[in-house]
Amino acid sequence: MTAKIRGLISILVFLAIWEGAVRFHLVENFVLTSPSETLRQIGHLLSTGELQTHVKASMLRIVLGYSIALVLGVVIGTLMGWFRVVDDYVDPIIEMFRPVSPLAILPLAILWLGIGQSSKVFVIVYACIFPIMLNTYAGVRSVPRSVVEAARILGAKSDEMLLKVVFQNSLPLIMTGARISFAVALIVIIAAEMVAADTGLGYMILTAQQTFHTADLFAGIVTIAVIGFVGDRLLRLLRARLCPWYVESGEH
Amino acid sequence: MQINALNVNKHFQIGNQKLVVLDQLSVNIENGKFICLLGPSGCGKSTFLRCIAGLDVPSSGEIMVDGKPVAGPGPDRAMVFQDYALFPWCNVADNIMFGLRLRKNRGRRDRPDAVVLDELIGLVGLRGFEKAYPHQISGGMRQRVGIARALAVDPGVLLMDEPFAAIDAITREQLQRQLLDTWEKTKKTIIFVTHSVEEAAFLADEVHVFGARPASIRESFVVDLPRPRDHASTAFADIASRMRASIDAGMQRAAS
Repeated sequence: MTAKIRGLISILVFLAIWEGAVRFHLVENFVLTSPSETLRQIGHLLSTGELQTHVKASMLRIVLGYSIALVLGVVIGTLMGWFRVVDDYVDPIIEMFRPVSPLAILPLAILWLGIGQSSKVFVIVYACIFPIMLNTYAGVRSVPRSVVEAARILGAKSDEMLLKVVFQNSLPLIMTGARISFAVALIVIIAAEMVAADTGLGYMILTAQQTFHTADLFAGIVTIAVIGFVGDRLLRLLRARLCPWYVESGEH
Repeated sequence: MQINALNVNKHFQIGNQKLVVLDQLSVNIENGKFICLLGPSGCGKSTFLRCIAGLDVPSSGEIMVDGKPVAGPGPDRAMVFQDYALFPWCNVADNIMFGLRLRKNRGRRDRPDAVVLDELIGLVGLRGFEKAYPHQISGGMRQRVGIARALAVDPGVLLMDEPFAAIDAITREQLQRQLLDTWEKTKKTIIFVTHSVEEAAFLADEVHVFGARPASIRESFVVDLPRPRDHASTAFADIASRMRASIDAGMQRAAS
């Protein structure tokens, strides 16, 4: 039996127990919506266009914040990894902010930027920048000295060294940071939308709970799971495309 | 390419201790020669090679390359590393062409990439592996890529830092013969660092034996045996044993 089949069995059993619990009235469907009902509800929400509206709102915030974090994180991480001075100056600041939860920053972001789009984007940037920055830093630091020396001897100037050697060599770790950050972004945006938004999956879920629309609540949760799964798969594919040379140990 | 080192000293500061690695080292290397620097590990021969490459700077003294003092690394003095130092994200062809493409970016007009690549791939015997990544090929093949990558920029001298030390004995002999072949075809000056007496005696025109740290050149040997050399011949055994005796004497001097 292959690992894939075992995984599939595990999921099917889980779904069967969940479905059975509702079908045989072990749990009230007021508390628990069955998988089939959840699926039906997702279909319904898609047909009215309501789900799309919320997904679009959440994804827009994620994509904006995530892109900004990606650029900033890679640039700062590279500079820190490559130039000792930058590391000395910037590292204490990072260590100071890193333990501060993005959700603790949210009220401040709202105070500064209002309850519009920008406060949520700001919190996404804040949450996503750390994994990307730190992984980039680790990637830059892991470039073997002899590889750098080989490039210098072959005539690489400092800009070529950064772009053609250091960045290339760090790309797999940068992509790992990008994957971690995507998961973080998804977690944070839901919470942020529960606090202050009138669209988005977080808003949708919270409203569903408050108005006792349990099926909507489940539809929202499943949608988040699907977005997270598909996003991570896409990022993995992207890494395989960008770094065909990279062999990861202990993962398939 | 001609290399002259005069009274080269190199020390490293480790805490408040001064570690003297090279002590008043002087040597003249003629154009087109195959030179081996031979000595026990940690004796400073690699440090000297790195000084010629411009990767390390002598604490005092002078190294002249074709009459000009060394000022940093450059493609005129290409290097082959013990750990290959290939670019893992580049396939064989891109590794070999790395230096040449940098030059092309600066507007240098060399021969077309495809022609140079084809010639080098043929020279080091890697045909069919152009698209392979370093992690997919053996150590011996990786070092052939390392040699081809260094030759691609058409250097005046090839600096080789124990290039075959991490390679199995059978492949090593094959690579040694292939290197001699390449050297005869290209007529490059080669400075080859090794701790193997047999390797030095098999390859070099001249062998400079390093003493134990702090090192300078203890003794120099001219190996005028015809090539290909026979490891089993008495003349080979004779020169090898003289080199070995020189290394032993140097280490005893350091120990006493």
